[in-house]
Amino acid sequence: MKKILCWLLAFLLAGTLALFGFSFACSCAVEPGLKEGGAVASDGVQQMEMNLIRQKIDELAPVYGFSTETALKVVTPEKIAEMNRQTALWWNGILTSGQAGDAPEFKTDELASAFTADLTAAGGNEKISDEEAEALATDAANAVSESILRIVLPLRLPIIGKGLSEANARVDVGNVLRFLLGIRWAALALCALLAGLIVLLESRELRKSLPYIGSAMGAAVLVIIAGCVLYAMTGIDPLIAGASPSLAAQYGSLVNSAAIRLFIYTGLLLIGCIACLILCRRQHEAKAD
Amino acid sequence: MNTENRKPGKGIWLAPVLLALPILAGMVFIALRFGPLIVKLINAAVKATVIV
Repeated sequence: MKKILCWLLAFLLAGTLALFGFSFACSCAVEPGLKEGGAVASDGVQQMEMNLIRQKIDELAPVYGFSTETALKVVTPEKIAEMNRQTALWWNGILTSGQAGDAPEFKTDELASAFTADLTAAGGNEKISDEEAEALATDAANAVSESILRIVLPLRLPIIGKGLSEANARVDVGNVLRFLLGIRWAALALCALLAGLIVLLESRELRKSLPYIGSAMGAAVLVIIAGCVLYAMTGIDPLIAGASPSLAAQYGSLVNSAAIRLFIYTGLLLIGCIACLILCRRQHEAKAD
Repeated sequence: MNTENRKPGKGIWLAPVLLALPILAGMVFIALRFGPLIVKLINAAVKATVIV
């Protein structure tokens, strides 16, 4: 009876260890976004965004008749970094209060005046008047600004804002997110409780409880591997990459940070499992001798 | 069958697999039963919120 109870507790411990692993990896990836100022995209992601913006400006330049160099004098990496800071604040608002704040924007004034000067300059189109050049420059500045926003935050902001306000009318989204982030600590406490119960049931002798705790660790490793395989099979990464390369880069950096933590945790569990089971086997061999 | 040469405690290595089996079976069941629906929902959410 005692053994059956111990194996039952080991089964629960395996599930809880796996739950802790998943929640730990996910919450550690999301947690930087909860800090004041949010989580700004990494330098690599910002570099990729800048490259995409350059490509977009190259596409728009012949359509509106401005020069790429003029646009790139205004659209600097520093301004894109500022856009990313605004985006991080926007995400921070959603994660902490469940409300989408002011959407990030790229100010068009400087771009419009640079384009106007470009279009009215000697090298520009001589047929258009100053008013026409100004109107065209404003259109071009708006198009560039919109393209930059689509690259830095390629989401339909009104839909997200509407969805969040609907959700907030029913539940406190900020509280729900905080609750989800707290699951890992609850799972960790439950792991300690279950392991403690196993040791208690085995007459408070740790060496007797090694096969149960070691097996639970090994089972958790298998469950985590299966979870990762199932995630890969859903095809979320290629789906996002197909929809937006810049969002795929941002999402990829989140997934990478979660994957590194999950990999380290799984490695530790595996080492623990092997150590426990080797010790257990040695005990059996010593008994047999 | 000669059991004298069998090392004691060898079966303990199977224990993690046996413990994980019910959870893995549950995961596979959920994946088969609800997997296509979950993928469709994710697909719809991405299409609705991401500017292509």
